[in-house]
Amino acid sequence: MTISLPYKRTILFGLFMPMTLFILGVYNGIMQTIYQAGVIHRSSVAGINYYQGLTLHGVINAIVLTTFFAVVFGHVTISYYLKKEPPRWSYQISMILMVVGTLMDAFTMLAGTSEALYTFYAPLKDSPLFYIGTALLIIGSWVAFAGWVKIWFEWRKENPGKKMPLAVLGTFVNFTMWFISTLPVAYEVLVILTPWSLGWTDHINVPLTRMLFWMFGHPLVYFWLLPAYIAYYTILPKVAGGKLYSENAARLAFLLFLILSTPVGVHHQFSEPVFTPGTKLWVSILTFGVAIPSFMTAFTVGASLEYAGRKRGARGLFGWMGKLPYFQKENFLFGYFICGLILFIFGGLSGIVNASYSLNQMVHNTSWVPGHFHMTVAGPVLLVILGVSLYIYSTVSGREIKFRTLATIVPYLWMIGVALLSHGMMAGGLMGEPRRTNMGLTYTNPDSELFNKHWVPTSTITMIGGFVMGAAALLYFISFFATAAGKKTRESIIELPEYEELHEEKTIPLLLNMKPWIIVSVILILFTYVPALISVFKYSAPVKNKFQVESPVNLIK
Amino acid sequence: MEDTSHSEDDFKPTGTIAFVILLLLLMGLIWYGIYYIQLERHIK
Amino acid sequence: MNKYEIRVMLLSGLLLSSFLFALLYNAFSRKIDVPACIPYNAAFEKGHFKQMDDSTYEVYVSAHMWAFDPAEIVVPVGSTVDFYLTSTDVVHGFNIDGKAVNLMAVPGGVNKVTVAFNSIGTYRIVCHEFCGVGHQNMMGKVIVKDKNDQ
Repeated sequence: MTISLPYKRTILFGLFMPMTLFILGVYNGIMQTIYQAGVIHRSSVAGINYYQGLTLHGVINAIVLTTFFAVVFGHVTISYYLKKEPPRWSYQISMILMVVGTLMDAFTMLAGTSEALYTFYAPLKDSPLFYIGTALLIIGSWVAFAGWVKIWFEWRKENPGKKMPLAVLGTFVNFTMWFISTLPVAYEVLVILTPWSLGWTDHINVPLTRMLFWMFGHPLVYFWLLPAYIAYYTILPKVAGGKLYSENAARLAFLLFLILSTPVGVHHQFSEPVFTPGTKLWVSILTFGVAIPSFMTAFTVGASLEYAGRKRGARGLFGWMGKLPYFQKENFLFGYFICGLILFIFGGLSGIVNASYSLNQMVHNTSWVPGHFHMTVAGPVLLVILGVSLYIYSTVSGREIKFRTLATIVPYLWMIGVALLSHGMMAGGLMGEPRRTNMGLTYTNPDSELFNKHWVPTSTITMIGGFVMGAAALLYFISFFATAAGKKTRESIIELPEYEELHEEKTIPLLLNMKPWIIVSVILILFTYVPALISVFKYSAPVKNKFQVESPVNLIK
Repeated sequence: MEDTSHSEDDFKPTGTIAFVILLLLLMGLIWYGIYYIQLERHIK
Repeated sequence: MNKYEIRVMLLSGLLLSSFLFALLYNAFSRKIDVPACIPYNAAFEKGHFKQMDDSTYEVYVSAHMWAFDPAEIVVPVGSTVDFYLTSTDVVHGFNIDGKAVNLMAVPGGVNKVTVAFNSIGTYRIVCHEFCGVGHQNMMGKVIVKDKNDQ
């Protein structure tokens, strides 16, 4: 499909800008591992202190890069399948809001006025620019969604009786869930934190801000993951040389995410006061529920790949795993997809441990947690972002991919890096190693009273993993930026590899209508969060606290 | 020439079924392993 | 719906149900549970140590930037301790190394957990939630002594 110039520019900018910031995100990630292993015993390097660097790393990698990709991949997916461009006002306003918000965040983080990490927990204070910038980034993504909804209704009128394409369903489920769940964090940030940060209000109810944050914080990870699942269901079968095993199962999986992603936020708060054991048990059960669509995905994607392998003549129970298109320059996307899936096995399983009510005490806030999430957000999510961004940049700009061999190796090298990084972190975590801590100053510093020798080998393995990931990132940047700088050799198009279904399946009407699922989603959220909100007000009290990261002196007298 | 339509109807993903069973076993191993460690630490 | 997909849902659901039962068993039979809810009261912000009888103690821990108060808690082996935890400034963590005790100290909220110390030794209490530039210095101790060792 051909593409108009403004739309093309929006898409390319929406890929290029976050990928440039990602260089800073990667640098700070590698630095984290060096500080933590006790290789250096410093509070800052090159003008960026440890916690400032950690804030940059989290915000750039996990909020900016992921949100931009969800929007740009959404543009390409929606346009490819509906054969329409969204209205110009929607994609332009969306991009402007997202860019302005990101620049505000970047400015205040680099200036050192917002270092409360990517969760910005009160009463640690960030600059109001940070809160407003983050809100703008999120609101910008809503505007893009609004544009897609408009052309969806047009398409439906022009195509009566045709079902919503699977990739469109996945995108709409993702953004519906995102819209619902970003409302609480928008409230937290604009109504509570910004006035408090500006000094217009003195009192702040900290448990309330945390509840609102985590109402957003868990669906956030599905907002990252679902674009990867869309790629696994609609692109991977084609590039693997197979067919999608069951489209009905894929639809059901997406719709289950719609109802189960948001009510589980309190599972990040098992060790906190104020929320009752009843609420915590309930969200644990719901979280076990939301694991099921992932197990379904493992089966559906596996079966689709098995079909591809057997078509190539594979025999035996597992022979098909070997007969897949690894390491093929002309099919580089496959490597990004398969390496993400392999990492996700361990990422997903470790997540279920985290979700398990009282068992969470074994791992909460230890380095097990970043060990887990680097195998999810830095696994399938990031690898799909990297692979698909390169693909989209090339097709939309009409430029050849440069350094294809490097681009092909990247996911395999990255996978090895993450495996080492996460292994070190999870082993350390089970031995009590804390996350979000500049261990080099104390815990991994032999001259310190607090020195803990057990955490040295674990953080060292993590650092080696970090270096391997850094090397993979470097190879990727070479390919991506050389591609972006190259000469245009072809027409600019919107294009995606498109899957075929293996079986013709019976239509299940419930899977073709989002409305009942949206209603159930809202009911579950109310059922979970109304009691939670009541317990917040029953067990907690507001405090007159406001603190800079640097000083233990309360800014409020 | 391979008769794809015939084999498509017959396709039974035995390898994936085995994979998912192993995946669930691995899940059980990891989970109950950590459960056991928690018990030890609780009693200590 | 494909019959294998349904079986995958059922099988994974079964495994997850077994986890749920194991957790409920822990909560009801072994008293391994999430922390209890205590209504907030500013009195909890003052750190203190109370002996209730020969083997029962209550410790009111106040976390602040960047230490715990009390910073060192000494109890004889075989004792049971009720920890009450809050913060006077920002959010802190409270993780007793080697014991399955893992709590958050949230200003405006009070956490409670009951722990039995049945082995002699020193247990470090690590703050594991970012609380400012002194976060990596924030550590406390529980020292469990022999009954005759005073």
